[in-house]
Amino acid sequence: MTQSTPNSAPRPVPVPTAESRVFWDGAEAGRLTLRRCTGCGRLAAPLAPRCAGCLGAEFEAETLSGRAVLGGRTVLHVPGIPGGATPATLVQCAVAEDPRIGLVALDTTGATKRLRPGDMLSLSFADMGGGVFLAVARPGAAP
Amino acid sequence: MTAAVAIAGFGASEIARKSDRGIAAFALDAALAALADAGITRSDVDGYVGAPFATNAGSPHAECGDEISLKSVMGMMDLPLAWGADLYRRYPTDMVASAAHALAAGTSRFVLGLRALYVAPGLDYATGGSDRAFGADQMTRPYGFNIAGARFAARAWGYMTTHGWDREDLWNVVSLARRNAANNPDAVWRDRPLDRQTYMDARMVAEPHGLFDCDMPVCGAQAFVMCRGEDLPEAATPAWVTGFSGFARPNAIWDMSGRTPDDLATAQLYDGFSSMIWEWLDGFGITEPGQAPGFFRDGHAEPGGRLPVNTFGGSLGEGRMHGMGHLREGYLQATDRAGTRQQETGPALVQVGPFDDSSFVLLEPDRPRHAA
Repeated sequence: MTQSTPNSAPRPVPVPTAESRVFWDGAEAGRLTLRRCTGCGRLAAPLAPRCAGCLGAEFEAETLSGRAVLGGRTVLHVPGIPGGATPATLVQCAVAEDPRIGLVALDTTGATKRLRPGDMLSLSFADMGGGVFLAVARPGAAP
Repeated sequence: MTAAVAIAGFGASEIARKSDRGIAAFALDAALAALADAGITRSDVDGYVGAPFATNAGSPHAECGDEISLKSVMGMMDLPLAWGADLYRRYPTDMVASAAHALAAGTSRFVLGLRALYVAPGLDYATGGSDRAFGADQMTRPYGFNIAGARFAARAWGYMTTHGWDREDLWNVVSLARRNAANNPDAVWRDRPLDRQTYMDARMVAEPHGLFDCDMPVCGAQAFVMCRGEDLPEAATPAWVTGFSGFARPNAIWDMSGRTPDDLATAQLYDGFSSMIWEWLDGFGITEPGQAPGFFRDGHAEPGGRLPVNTFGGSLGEGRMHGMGHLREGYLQATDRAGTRQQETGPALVQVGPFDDSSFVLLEPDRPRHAA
């Protein structure tokens, strides 16, 4: 689900390329979406030009569970974006379906504070304003 | 040069005024065409040389935006590398390795050379601080994850939480840096001791890093000259480059030098943020996985300790020289020229760069017997 978040400062707008557009279109629709290689079945990272496994160039977009594994976490006390609110909690996580693919997400509630590396997260996407839709992480399995 | 070398094949991508495809797609097209032209496959490639920086005047310097480096090329080709670092990169350790390759080649059988340029959409001069996020930045900048070492802080949190360390252990690193800096006449913090309470009370930047866990930006420059032994000037004091390696194959440094971590007399480990210093103590097996902070807690990294670390104060004590200070100290320690901070004169390890982009050099006082 896409959720509204109280607006803070404008965030840099991601500039998709042909490779990453599936991911960002999915983000706008509120879903974690990656491309799966039609040749060997490996998931591709958002920026990958071809399948890293077989070098195939044919993909099908796939909506994933949104489940991810927590790797890192930090609370930023300086603005991460110009004029942005502080403190802000950011997490780094790995996509559950293929942990070779890492993503950054916001923790807008601070609820990951009680988690440890390896704990499960659920990712959704929030409308940050200005056409920017970003991953938001919460503890636990996907809704 | 003792070997005849040749260009075995050439490949090119389409050339376009603008494109909807990213720079990585062009880079990969060219790379695959070159491999095909040379009659080899990607599994034959064991070296890489690129020129990833500043591809145009208004460059936002965005990996996979208008630049391309080994980190991305490895990921998109699953490259098996014999050596494991880009042969042309910004870190001083890479500069040594590149120079060594130029002076005495032979570390790779097939080196993939790649340069990619890109006109990012709507990009003008001096738009580096753009309100848009290009390339790999699109996955991090909108979150603020590129700011204030957030990605290193997030990794430090994971490490400390997993292995049970706390800010006391970061203080141990910062404290050692300040005390060592006092013996370095060039260090920006040489006359500024720091006490534990001041450290703990300082404002947070990106948890678990506070103000003093971050190195200080400075103006400065350091430089070096390298040559082959037969060309060594009579007045020179050589530190012999006996090994080097990169993040993708760190242990290649021991294979090349015939040394082991037990042989090290000193280690200069990159510390742009305090927690980064732990990475390769664990990575090289000098400490058990997750136990590097204990090495500092128990005093083993102190001058005169089991393996003195950052004897010049590191970036946290000397200032942000992006690893050139580490390389210089490795040279001074290996040549018995470190003055009051001189440790045992022996193999000196230098590491520069973040955990996922590091490279390594081993400097020694004695000319290696096995080298030509």
